Amino acid sequence: MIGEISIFGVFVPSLLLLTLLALALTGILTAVLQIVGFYRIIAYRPLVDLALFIFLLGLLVLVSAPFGPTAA
Amino acid sequence: MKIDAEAVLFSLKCFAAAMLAYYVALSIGLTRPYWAVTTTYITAQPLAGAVLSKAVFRTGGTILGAAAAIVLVPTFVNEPLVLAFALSLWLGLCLYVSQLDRTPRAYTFLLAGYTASIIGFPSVDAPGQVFDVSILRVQEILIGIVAAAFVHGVIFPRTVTHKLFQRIDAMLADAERWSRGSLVQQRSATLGRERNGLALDLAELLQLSAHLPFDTARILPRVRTVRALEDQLSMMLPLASSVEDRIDALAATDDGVPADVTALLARVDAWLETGVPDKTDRDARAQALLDEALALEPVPRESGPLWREMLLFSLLSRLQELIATHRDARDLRDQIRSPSVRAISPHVGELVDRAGSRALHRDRGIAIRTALATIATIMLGSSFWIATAWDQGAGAVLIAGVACALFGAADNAAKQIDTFMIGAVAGILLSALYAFAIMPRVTDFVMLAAVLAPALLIIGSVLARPAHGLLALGSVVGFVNSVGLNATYSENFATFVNSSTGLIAGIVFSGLCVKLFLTAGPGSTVARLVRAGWRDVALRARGGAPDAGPWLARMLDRIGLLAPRLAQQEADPDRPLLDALVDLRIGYIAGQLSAMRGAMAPEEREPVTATLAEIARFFGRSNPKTADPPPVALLDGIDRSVGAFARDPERERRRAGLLLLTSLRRNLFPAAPPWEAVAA
Repeated sequence: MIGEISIFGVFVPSLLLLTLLALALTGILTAVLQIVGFYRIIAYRPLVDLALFIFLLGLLVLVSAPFGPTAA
Repeated sequence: MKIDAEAVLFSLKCFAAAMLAYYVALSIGLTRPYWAVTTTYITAQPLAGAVLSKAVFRTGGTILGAAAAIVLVPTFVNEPLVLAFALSLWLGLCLYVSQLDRTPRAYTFLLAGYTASIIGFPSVDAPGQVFDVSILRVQEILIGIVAAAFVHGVIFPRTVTHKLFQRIDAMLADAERWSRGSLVQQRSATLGRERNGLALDLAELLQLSAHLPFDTARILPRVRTVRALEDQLSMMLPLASSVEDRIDALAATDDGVPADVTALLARVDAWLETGVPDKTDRDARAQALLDEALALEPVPRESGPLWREMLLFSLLSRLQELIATHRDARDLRDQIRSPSVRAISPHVGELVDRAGSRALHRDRGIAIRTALATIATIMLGSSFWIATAWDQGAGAVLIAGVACALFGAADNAAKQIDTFMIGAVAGILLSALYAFAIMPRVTDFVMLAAVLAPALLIIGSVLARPAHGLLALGSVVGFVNSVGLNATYSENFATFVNSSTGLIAGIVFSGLCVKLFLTAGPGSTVARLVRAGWRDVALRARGGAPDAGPWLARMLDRIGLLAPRLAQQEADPDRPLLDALVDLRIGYIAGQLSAMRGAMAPEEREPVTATLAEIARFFGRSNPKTADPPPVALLDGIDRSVGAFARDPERERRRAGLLLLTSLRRNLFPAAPPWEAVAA
């Protein structure tokens, strides 16, 4: 079940927060990879970035799941 | 044909993103999924990096705006008019900040302002829903943004980097051609006007480089390297025009341009034509030319034809700077193209490290006026709506506020709003056809997508053409918002007519208010720009802007803003624009003189200080409407300074001082007779 988190009385779906967080993390990670020169060995960067975003979102969901309502 | 193919691809991508967003929003079970659909169209842009940066700014702005609505609405819930005032103040404040920014980042503030309106105004009648609506809006926008970023970023992306490479190559080729035009005396009438296009190119480069960190190209150039290239490019315009001016002045003297200098100019010309693009021996050939120019420099003495030698000396010195600037610009271009983040040569590394931040022209007066006009529009509309209890009033007021926010800052705001309205009306008419003739027969999502495809694809292909972008934007707002993209078909003709009337009434009203409050035409904008430039020259002459980089960037930015406005205003835009360039050179030199004052001998410092004070007074007071010539006392002051420097026994100081004073005299008094020792 998708839980909601109350921020100043506004009930925010936790998936929304996780997505925002994952987007921010992807931005940071791609910037680092860019500086390192990782993309030079990659054929098509957008797909790699997309996959990174999905990984990160999945990871965040897994990590945060124990704190969700179903675990209680 | 190529452009058409691109427009078709773009339109297909927009449609795919819209349907994706709609599908996701529906699957989650959100009400008002059309917000997500509209977002995919609003963020859609041809360049992938630009879509992603707009997406980021839109997310930030939406969250900020939703937060503002959540704070404001419950606080003023009992007094609708006060609430409307608070929301309009917030919009005005955001609008003011976004106008001062002038980079793509400004979109964040714009959106923060009108998201609060979009959430807040409908909540005036139903304040209990503000929390739900806020979070709904944030979710829908995020879905739309992610869908648009996904489709535009992943499927056949056109990268900012690619466009940047193309533009840089074109700009360098132009800049080299223009510099060559200054060296050989074959000037066409159009050259001067064309050359000011460089100022516009710089503005474009700045906008493009703002998207760079968000781009999806495999190899991204550093923004700092692009800044360094901008620094070099911005020096080219003043340098080339100085060289041109000195050649003219020398040619007008009795002896003309010396033969060896003419030969050197021809060689520099040839180097710019063929040598500069060639990477292998660029440095060696540039160094040879620099050495040659240095060897030709005369040593100005008090006796003999001083003025002529000063001109020659000034010409050669500026020529050396011009050569070095062209060389550095090409080196930086290679650095930008280089796949490695490391500097390709130590010199390039130095240039990149030195790159300053770009300062832009800001007009607080116009920003405040636009903000106040928007506040006034909303307050007038709200008074009418609340007093008459018009049930569509909230929608009308919010669209009026949004229209003011989007278009109020433009010179031709009223015209833009009219275009937007035509688009909205067309969109609503199309939507009526869909909502009452086609949609009732639609039974599932696939069929809906197929039915919507023709309309949305046509709108998308119009959106791809910059000249008609506003029209398409209007029709997106008109069509998508009213066609009834909800979970179930629930269209009601009375509601449709009411809300459409509200939408059109809001746009018409904002158009009227803009005509009422923002009547300044391009003429007054030009005058404001020119005056702001003069005040900046005065500031620098007083020693107030010692750092030349940002000052120069601001002045050039103003030239870039002036160029298109003058082009539409006058038959011959050459003259006042060239003046802006002269002002730039005067201010630049005045700043250098002012910085040099500490190192001068007392008998030199006195006339120079007087001259600078006179320049500051002249530019601080001048009025663009009367355009007075510079006072004669100023020429006298310059000539006295020249005399003082000519007697200076210290060679380096004499050289530097005379160089600056020659330029100053040529720029301020191009028609004055040659300097003579008797004036001292």
